[in-house]
Amino acid sequence: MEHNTQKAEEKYMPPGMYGYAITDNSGSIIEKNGTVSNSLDQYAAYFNQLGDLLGDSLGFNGYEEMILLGKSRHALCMEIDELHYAAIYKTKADHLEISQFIREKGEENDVLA
Amino acid sequence: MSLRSHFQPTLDLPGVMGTFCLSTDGKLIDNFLPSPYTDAVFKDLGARCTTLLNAVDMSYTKTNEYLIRFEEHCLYLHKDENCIIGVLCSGNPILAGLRISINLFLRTAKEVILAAPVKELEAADAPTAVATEVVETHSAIEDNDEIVAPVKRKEPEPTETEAPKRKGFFGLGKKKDKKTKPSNDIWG
Repeated sequence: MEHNTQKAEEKYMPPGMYGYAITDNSGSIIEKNGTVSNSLDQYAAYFNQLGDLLGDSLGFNGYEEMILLGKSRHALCMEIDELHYAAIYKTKADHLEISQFIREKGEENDVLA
Repeated sequence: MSLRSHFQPTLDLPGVMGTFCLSTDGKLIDNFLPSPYTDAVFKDLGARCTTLLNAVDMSYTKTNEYLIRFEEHCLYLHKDENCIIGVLCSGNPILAGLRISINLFLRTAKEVILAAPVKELEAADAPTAVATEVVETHSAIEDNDEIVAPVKRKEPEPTETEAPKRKGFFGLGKKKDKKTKPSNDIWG
């Protein structure tokens, strides 16, 4: 009897990225790849909401992203079309590349929807 | 040396529009943002800043620096043990330069921040006034229309539940009670 020991293939991630997660407004995970701490993916929607409120106080409409700047790694929270994206990456990774990758994910999900 | 002069190197950085300094509980210490951002803005902004910082600290991990990007602007927040510094930038700021200048600021201006008084914002703001007006008009309507507050009527106390009447088989008798002996008990 053969056992299926193959692991699920990891999807492409830009260099320096530890992982990302996509959640809906309630915090339920839609897609997850690599390593993202549970608390970040659960609270990404909340963080995005707070970021949006901060922009509202300053008179800015288009909230784009929030980066939590840590010593060894950064966390990125982004909202695209009512989906919330959370990513963790090394501080030395190219932020623009990470951000662009998440945006492309957002476009993919928009097309699929 | 004033707080403004301590902030000057940061304000001189390219893309920096202004800075502000909040106490750890979100109250305004000083505001060097462009003139449209009056101190009144900080009633909301201060509370929202502290909510965000506390939320991240409690639910994710302790984080001292944040960069929040909007369409054309971004807000850099730096939390220290004595204060919260905010830097409003247009476009993409040079983050490395921003971090250095804020770190230097925190090192040199520590005593000035501790000595600076917290600005008391006016208690009666427009949103609160509107809210009270709404309540007042609502009560006035109630007075005019003589709306009586709903009084809870005392419902009759529940009596013993009456069993549905049964006429029995062909309507000749009642349902047999198990405890009482049937009348036609031939065994006496």
